[in-house]
Amino acid sequence: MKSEALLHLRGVRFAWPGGSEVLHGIDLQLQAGQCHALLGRSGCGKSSLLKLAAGLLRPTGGAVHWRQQAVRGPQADVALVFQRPTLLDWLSVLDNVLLPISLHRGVQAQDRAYALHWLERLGLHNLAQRRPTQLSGGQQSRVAIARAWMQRPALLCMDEPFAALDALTREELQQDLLAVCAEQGTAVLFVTHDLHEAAFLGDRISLLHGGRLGPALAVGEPRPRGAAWRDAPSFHAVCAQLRQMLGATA
Amino acid sequence: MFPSLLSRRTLAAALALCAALPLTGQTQTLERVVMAGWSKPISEITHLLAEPDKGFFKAQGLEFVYLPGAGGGDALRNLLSGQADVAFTDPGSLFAALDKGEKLRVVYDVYPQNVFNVVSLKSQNIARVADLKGKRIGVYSLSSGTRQNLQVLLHTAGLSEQDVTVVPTGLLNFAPLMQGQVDATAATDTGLMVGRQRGLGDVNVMEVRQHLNLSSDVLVVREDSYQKNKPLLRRFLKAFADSAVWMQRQPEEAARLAVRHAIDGQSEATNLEVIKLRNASSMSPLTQRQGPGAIDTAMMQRGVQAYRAFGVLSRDIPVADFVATDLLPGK
Amino acid sequence: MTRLYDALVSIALGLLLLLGWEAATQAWGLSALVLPAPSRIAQALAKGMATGYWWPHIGQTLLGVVLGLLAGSMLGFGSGLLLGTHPRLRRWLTPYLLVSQLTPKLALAPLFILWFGFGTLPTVVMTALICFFPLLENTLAALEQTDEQQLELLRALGASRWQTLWRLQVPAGRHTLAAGLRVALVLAWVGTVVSEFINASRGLGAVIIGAQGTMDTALLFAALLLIALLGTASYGLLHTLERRWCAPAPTL
Repeated sequence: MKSEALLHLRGVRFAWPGGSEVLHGIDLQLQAGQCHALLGRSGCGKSSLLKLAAGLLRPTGGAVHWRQQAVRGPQADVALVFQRPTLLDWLSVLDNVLLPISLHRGVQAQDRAYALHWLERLGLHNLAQRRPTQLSGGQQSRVAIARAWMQRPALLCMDEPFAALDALTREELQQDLLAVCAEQGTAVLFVTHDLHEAAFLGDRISLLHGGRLGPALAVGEPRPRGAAWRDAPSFHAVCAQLRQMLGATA
Repeated sequence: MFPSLLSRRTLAAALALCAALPLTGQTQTLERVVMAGWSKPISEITHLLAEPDKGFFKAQGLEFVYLPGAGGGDALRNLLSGQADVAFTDPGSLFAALDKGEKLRVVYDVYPQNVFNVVSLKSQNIARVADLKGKRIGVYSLSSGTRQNLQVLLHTAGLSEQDVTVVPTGLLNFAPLMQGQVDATAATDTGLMVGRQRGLGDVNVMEVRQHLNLSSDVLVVREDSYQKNKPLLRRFLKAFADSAVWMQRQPEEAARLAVRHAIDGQSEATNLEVIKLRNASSMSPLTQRQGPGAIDTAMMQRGVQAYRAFGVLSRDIPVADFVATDLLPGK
Repeated sequence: MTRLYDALVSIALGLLLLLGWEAATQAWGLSALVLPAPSRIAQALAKGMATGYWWPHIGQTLLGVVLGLLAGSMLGFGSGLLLGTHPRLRRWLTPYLLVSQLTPKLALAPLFILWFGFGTLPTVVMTALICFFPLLENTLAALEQTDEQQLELLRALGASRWQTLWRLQVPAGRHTLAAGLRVALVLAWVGTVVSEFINASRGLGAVIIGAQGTMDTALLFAALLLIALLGTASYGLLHTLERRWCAPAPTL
């Protein structure tokens, strides 16, 4: 593990133009390969915090550093996965996945092969030529994730990406995510309002409340975490802790 | 006490008088006659538009209604559809309709003088009709009297439309001429007058009248109307003639009334010029002898020949078939 | 099967209307100069076809429609992109655009001869002016419609302003743009024909005016029929092209 943090938020404050402050000084450090879950109720500013980390928003106070450099805008090796898949319906699934590449240079054969590799990896191998409207919600979410992987990101910023899906699909995708992150060594900043999801995915879990980040809860369970862990007492213990933390914010 | 009785009586008497007034004078109801014209209500026809003030038709027991139109063809179509009883139209439209087999009668010659011309800048040196060959000539529109009379003029020099380039120029006849976009423009006497007012400058004018003096406008009725309504039509033509004669004798009064009644009558001075021109075109040696509206059947025949020559008429139509002089008011 | 049935019913209604019209003309003894019977109109149409009378006029009108539509819609689309991406420019120009939209351009047609001369140019300019506004408005609307999240996606992917416009906003708004083009096509027919009424010595509009002058109402109707047929065909062609290029794939 690197001693220097990959992503470092120092005293970050944020207010929407013409609005009151939403984040009152956030400190967060993320190491390479780590998964940090941000837990909080709806509307607490989690999405804004994620966008600040990804460089989509500028903080009104404090600093955001990526690889020890001040962040001035979206970074090439930071990929965002939004709440909704946000696929472009006039492009095929393959072209959607290739979008991060096709925006910046010509698409080569190896890019296509890489994209198809990801589609296969995520169980979408027959759907490369379909249009997004022909896919189910879960399939669309996977395409969005494949698109994120195309960027070969060092950090994945995910904003409740599985929120609109059914429980079974959600669990499958959580499983996939952990497996791939382990392979790629990708760090993940994951926003969710679902404490079970936070518990399953996170190495560290922070609660965002009142515009401040509470102390991080370290989850000891080693990787790889299988589906079986969901039924283990240690998992329930983590969830109980989180529930208590959340309850304290009511 | 006396004042109140007196006032009640006077009031009653006044009321009775007011009630009785409308009954006097209107001993018969007026018969409605609709005339379809080729234009909107313009100052040229002030003698008709001033009917509310002058009452020529009312004096004949007629209620005169004017139906505006966009061209002589429009006027004839209104006549044929039954919307109108009389059409104020041009011989060209009439001949075209006759050729299609419509049964019509010319009963009055409104303007025995031809008012059409072809105007060109002096610099173009177009002095004779033959000089028009190969030139670009503007007309008001492809369906207008200016185009038809251009054809008549060309015919008198043995030319046809194929020998020139006819270009529709719309309302602004003289601007294209002044800018050199056309070599000559087919216009009317009133158009030329307005053009001169607007700074037309030195021009050569060829008047169609000098070559074939075919009437500019005539009154036409349907054949069945002619056969069945002769008394009514006689009264109508009498009223029409009276109104035309009034305008000839009182052009200043007409110019004044045109300001109120005509859509293009804002300038009294211009109205007077237009009215004088139209008065001149409604008079001819024949009308001097036989009275207003007299029809020159020989000229009408020559018109038929000319229109045959450039293809509007596909066959010869004997003048007696479509002209009637028995309804004219006489001197 | 139902589509065939619908088509047959449609045609049958049309035939019924034509028969009724023919019968009425005979029964009421309507003059052919006022309302010609369908048989007469068909005759005028056929005669013109046989003598080759119609072709130069059809060609002239089609030229006006196509050139005017192309010029006007490209200008409208381009201006829409410009104004859509430069809000200040749009604020400055909006009052003038509104005024020019509200004034009937056809009223200016007689002046076009003075400004553009005779021939095809004044008609193409008139048609282009008329086609300009539907495309301008629809392009602006299409740009405004872009999904916020999609805009954010492209920003996150590091897309430039131009890329966002061309790779996202234009394709995303293609249906609105297509609708604008359809409207423009219909207006192009109206604009070309009416401009020909006033300015032209060739073209179907000119034929109509000429027919009025020679009292040939059957010819007038035949020209109108041609305009209707050609207009409908062009609209259908455009619609088919749009379906090919713009329609989303059928959903599951």
